[in-house]
Amino acid sequence: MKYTKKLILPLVLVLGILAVAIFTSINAVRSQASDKRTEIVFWHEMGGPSEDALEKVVDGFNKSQTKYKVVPKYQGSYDEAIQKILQTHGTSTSPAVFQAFDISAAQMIHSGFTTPVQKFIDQDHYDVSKIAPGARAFYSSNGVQQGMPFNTSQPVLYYNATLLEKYGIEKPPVSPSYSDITRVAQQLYEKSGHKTKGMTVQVYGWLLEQALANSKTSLANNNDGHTGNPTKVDLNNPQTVEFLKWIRENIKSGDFIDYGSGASAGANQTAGFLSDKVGIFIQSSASIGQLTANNTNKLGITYFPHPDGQKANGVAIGGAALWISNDKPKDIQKGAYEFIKYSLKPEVQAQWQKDTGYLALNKDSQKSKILKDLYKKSPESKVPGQQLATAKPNNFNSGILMEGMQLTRQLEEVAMETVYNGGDIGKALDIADKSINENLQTSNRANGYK
Amino acid sequence: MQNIDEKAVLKRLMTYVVLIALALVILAPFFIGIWTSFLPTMSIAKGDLFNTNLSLDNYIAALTKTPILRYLANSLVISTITMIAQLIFCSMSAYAFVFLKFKYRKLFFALFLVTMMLPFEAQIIPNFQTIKSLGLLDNYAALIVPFLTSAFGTFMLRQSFKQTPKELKEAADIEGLNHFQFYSRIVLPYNKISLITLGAYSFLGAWNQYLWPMLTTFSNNSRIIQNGLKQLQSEETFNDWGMIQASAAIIVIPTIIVLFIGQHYFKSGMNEGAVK
Repeated sequence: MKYTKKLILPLVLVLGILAVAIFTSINAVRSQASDKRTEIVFWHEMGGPSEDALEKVVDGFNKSQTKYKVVPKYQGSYDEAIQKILQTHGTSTSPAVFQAFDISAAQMIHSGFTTPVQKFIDQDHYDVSKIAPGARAFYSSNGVQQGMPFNTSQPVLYYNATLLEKYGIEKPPVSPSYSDITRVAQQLYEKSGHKTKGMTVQVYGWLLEQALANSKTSLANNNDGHTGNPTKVDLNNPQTVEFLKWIRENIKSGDFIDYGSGASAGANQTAGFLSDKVGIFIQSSASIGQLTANNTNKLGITYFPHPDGQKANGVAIGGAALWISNDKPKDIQKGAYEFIKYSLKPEVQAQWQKDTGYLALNKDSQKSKILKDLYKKSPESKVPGQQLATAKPNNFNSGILMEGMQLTRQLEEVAMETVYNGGDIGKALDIADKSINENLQTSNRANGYK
Repeated sequence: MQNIDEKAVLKRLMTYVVLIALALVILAPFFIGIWTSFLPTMSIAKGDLFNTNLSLDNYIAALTKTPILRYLANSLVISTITMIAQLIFCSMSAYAFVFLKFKYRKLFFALFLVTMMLPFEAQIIPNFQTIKSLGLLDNYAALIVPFLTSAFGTFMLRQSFKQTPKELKEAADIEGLNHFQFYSRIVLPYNKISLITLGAYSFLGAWNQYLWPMLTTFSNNSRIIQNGLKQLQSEETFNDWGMIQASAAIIVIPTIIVLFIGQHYFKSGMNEGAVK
């Protein structure tokens, strides 16, 4: 008797766990059965306020038709989500449509787990010319649209317009050169009595890559991977050196402040900018919400700076795209495409830009009342969109389609950090080149690419 | 006499000064965290912490605008089940290793210990494949089943059970108690403190998990609190730091309660031992 009593507890426990497992799956089945719509599972990485904005888009789609029902599910950070997407492919839990960030594009294409959006665009005769070509180019290889850009940002330069006015400094042009920014930064530093540092550039590989894009230079061969898998990276080129020299020049004259690398550097630099400790910084246009909400200072925005004596080539986008998994039946894939198409409608994109700070990708969004009102309230928020619209996409400014970009960025950041701390520019870039190329070759060999 | 006293007082004073300094270093981030949870987001973003513009708005926003309560409930269920299961299974296996004589006992125990040498992160891929083929992804079970028992728990309780006086076992044998009676009536009460320690340890371990739940859950229904906290942060856009901080403060509360209860029992257990 006594020991049956002792056995009961573990037994109850095991049964309890089984019950939980069974009930949750029954519930899932039930909810599917009660609703005749086809369920489209959508994985995304939009946390915080942008998740609310995303749910608005999904609700709008679900209300706009009766055939499909999109179920949004948050998956953690961009990096974590990539692994989950690749590992769950082919199981019942995998998504029908998912959001994957810019630098995972090559990995997604090579995985063979996705159906190119181009297939549905062709079937549907959808007119993609309305969608920003710069954004489209990023997620296409050999002219085939692989994923569809969704939340899209541009790196832009922010400056404190109030401080510039206060000290009577002429503001930088909309598309500034390196020396334009140096002038403003040095004047600000001197005229504020060394109270406000002139500028900062975060130790962030993305910014280095953008400097290359803007000066019409490829980082990887095969046109940055757009015409074939890259086999070699060339970071130590005159354009990178010029970019780093520009930063070095400002460090030497004392008007530069280094916030380091990583997420905390981003937050610290924003805090520094908002509290007048630094006057100029370069960041994703998606940060605009943080910089305008309750900011007592006037915000100024320009394009990403370009080298002197050269026209800006335009920069690549950041953010993420929507991809369709190929492990789902045809009707679900079709539903996924319908959702993507809906998300690109002019009014949906306009609302999305207003809510999040990501750029509206549909050209017609600019004519909508939502964006017109937004620009009236804060004219500077027009600049990032203009930068995207004016840049003619070419293989230099359409991102780098290469696997292992996360590691590449880390190595780029090591090189940047070395230079910021007084190290030799050429040597730092050579070391980065060597490590990146070694990783690239190992990864290509391991994956069986030639 | 006086000299010695002075020295003793001085020594004690120095000890307290050092202790207070260390306590400040350790507690400061915690209190700064609590403090910022009452500040408006703009002040936090500006780094303006010495601000008296305090309010409960962040807490209200966290509780009403986010599914944080659901996540708390998920975490509570998962942590409690994990804790109870570990107590039962670890104590039973530890009992077997101490009081039962069987062939290859040492070898089996060594095998148990070997699993401790591998960090959980190294086992993630096979574990994930197992859970995936069992079809348990995105389910409470995925978060509980791999943690029903732990080698560390068995090891810890085995060491503790070994301290149980042999006389008790002999007396129990004379009384005619069988193994289950001896286990439940003597070994468990005798090792109460170790059991409570293991309970608190496994509860907090389950509560603080991040990577595994992140990989195996896909929806808000099964998401636990630590991942929920990450969800409140966005990738590149505007972050409501005040609300995130308030949520972090809410999450800490249950952990503090567990520690408090654990400590209370720990103390009473010590006293009982002293009186006997």
